Amino acid sequence: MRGIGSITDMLVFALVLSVAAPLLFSAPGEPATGNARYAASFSQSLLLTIQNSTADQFGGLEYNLGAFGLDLPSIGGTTTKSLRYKTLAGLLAEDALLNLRVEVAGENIQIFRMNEDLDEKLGVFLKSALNEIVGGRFGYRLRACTKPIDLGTARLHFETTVENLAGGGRQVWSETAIVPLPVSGSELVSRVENALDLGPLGIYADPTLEITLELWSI
Amino acid sequence: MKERGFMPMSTAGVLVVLLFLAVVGHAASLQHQQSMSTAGDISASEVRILYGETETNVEALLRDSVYRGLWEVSKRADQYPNADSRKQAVEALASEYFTERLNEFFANYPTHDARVELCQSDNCVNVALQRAENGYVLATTELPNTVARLCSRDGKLSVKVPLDETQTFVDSRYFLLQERMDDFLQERGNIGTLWKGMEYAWAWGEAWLRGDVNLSEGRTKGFFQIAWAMHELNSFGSSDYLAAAQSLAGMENPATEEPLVVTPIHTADVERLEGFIDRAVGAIDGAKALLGTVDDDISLAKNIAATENLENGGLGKIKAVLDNSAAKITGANGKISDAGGEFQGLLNSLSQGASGNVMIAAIYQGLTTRKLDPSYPSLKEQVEWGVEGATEKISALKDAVTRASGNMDAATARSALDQLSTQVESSMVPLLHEPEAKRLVYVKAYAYDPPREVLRELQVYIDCKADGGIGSLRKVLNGARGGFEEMNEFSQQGEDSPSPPEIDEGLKNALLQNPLPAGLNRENIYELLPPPPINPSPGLSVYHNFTVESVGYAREDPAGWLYPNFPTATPIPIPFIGITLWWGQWNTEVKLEHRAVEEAFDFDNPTLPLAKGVGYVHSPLAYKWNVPDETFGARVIVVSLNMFTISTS
Repeated sequence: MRGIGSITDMLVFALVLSVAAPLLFSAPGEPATGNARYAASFSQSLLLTIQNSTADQFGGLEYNLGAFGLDLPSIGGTTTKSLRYKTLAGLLAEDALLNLRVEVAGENIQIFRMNEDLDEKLGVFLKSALNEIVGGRFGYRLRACTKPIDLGTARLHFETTVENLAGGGRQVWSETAIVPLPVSGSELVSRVENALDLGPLGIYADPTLEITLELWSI
Repeated sequence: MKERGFMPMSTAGVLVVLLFLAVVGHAASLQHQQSMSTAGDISASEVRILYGETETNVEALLRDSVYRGLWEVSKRADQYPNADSRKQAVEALASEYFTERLNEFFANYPTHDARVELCQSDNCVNVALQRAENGYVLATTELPNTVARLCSRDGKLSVKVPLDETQTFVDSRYFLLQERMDDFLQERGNIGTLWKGMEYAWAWGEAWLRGDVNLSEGRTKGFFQIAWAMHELNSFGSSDYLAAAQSLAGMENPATEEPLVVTPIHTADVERLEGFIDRAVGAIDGAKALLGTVDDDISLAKNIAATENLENGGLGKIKAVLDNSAAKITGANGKISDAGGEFQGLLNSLSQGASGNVMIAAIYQGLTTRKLDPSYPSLKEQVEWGVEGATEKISALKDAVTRASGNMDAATARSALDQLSTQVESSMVPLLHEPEAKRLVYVKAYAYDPPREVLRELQVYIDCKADGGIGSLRKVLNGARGGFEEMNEFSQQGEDSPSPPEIDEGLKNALLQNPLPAGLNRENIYELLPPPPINPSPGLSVYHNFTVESVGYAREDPAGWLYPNFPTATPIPIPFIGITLWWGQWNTEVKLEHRAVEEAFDFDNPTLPLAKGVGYVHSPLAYKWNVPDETFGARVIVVSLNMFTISTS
């Protein structure tokens, strides 16, 4: 009986060790916590970089103004606009102002847009700049949007997204910054009233662009 | 065998379990602490980033406010008395807009991000501008008593940070535009100089090479446009070449024509011609001096004949004196030949230079043909007749002296010397005496003060070989010298004329561009899409808008002044050298329509988001100036040796 008791003790002891060992090994360092901290710090720095780095640090941004029906080469003009000293966030804010979209019944209406190329070129430019800064450490999605200006039957808004989610992982951090548009809310409303010949709308437009940066694991 | 440990196995198991629980508990505690530390780090970093974001946004608001202030002031830059007041106006506007934007932004911030609260106790902030490198703008503002309250997402970290001074770079070259516009305005007189140079070069070329100066309003306007464009190019590194091309449309573009340049005859050239005449006159004076001693020699011979024994050596002495005199006469003849040689040298020199210089060719023609009047012999004829006549007379004199010396004997010496003396005396008078004009020829001319038509008298001293002599030759050559001096006086007016300006190749090419379609508002188009600058540095585009209201021509040469439609320039006949100077002079006045506009754009920095049409576009900063009313005048004087007509169209 005594031999059986010792064997039982040994078995209980071995069982306790087998349960304790994994717990002990997992306790001191949680990899998920380290990744989150790194992602948070990285995303904050990245947003700050977007707000402070100028276009010429990434080779400068050029786009072409829409020709609005004129034969520009024949008048000696060039449609190219070169922007060098504006920050990436500043470019996004100006893109938002220059490319406000009109949405009617949930559909974007394509109106005469001279600055369409700015929107396209800026998207490509930002992706290239972000790829350079992120350097493959994370996947990312940068989303910039304004609060819609409600005109009753229509609304004006801006939204753009630049992303590189090639890794197909999961979102590890998200950070938001706000940037002012280059005009005041009252000026923006006044402009909309005049341009669309709407008369006093009695509304307020929030001239702020929200930039949200998501980092994704790869 | 009975074995027993120091404690029962069950006790040991309990101890092991307790130890395990203690280790697990410690590990859990460590993990918790690490999580808390991570959260703390993230919070601190978050607050730091929030502060950076706030500062960046305030800078953006400041920049946008300065953009707006710059645009509004620069578009009416001429309304401020000086650069300081203009800067103050920008600062005042920027301060106003910045205050408005700041209040709005501070109010909106918490609705977007509850972590940020901005408090400002002052209602108004001041913006100051200063010049940055390359003419950019540096904007600074003080934000006293402005505080940002920032807290972390979990609310555990909260800080209050003052936002004191904010400074931002504004990417528009306001100061450069201002400086270049100042240059343009201060040196505006250069437009008149450049235009005058073009008018001069063209008028001289037309007068000399085509013989007709057609004063055309279109051409004058074209020259004026080009001069304005050249001055713009010098000031801004570019010009409104599309406007200039538009103005030049439908007319021969003066910028693309090869300029016909006629160089006025210079004082140095005239002095060189006078040198030949002076040497010829010097040779004639030498001949005269030599001949002047012949009388003395004959008197000496007569004295020997009267006082000495002719049989005993006296006759030999007389012959020696007469032979010496004959040698002097030969020498005088040589001097006359030298004078003729100098004149021929003058003609040869002119002949050689005539092939490449219309001015020299005209002088050569004047000296060798009867240009003033068919009955007025040319200088060449008069000099050649004069030399031949003088030489013949001197030779006859020498023959008389030599003959008298050879035939002389003691018996007839005294009477022969008396006869010789009489003969020499009678020969010397026509040879040395400076005669009165043999006849007069009248040609039409114009006196200037007051302008009137007159007949100018031309004296003829040598009409044939018989009239030739030292005196008449001297008269003619001195008259020719006076003629050259008269011509030189007129030529000096040409020397003061401005040289034709050289048109920059880049500008020439730019002026060949197709002009804008009519009816477009160029200024609006330039605000969107200014034309590329001609020179890449400093990278400014230029717009101008002026209309030449009127072009007026006023003849000022005597004939034109007396009779405004007088078809030719005023003839100025110059005696002796047989040249007629044709003097054309007129004042051209260009009057601009009220409020000419000059505007420069910062082409390299299309950075201002401006409302245009139904939206906004990026535009370069514009600096606009309404140029003061002005009338430009150019006095053109053309002196030609060939007759030319002056017409107006």
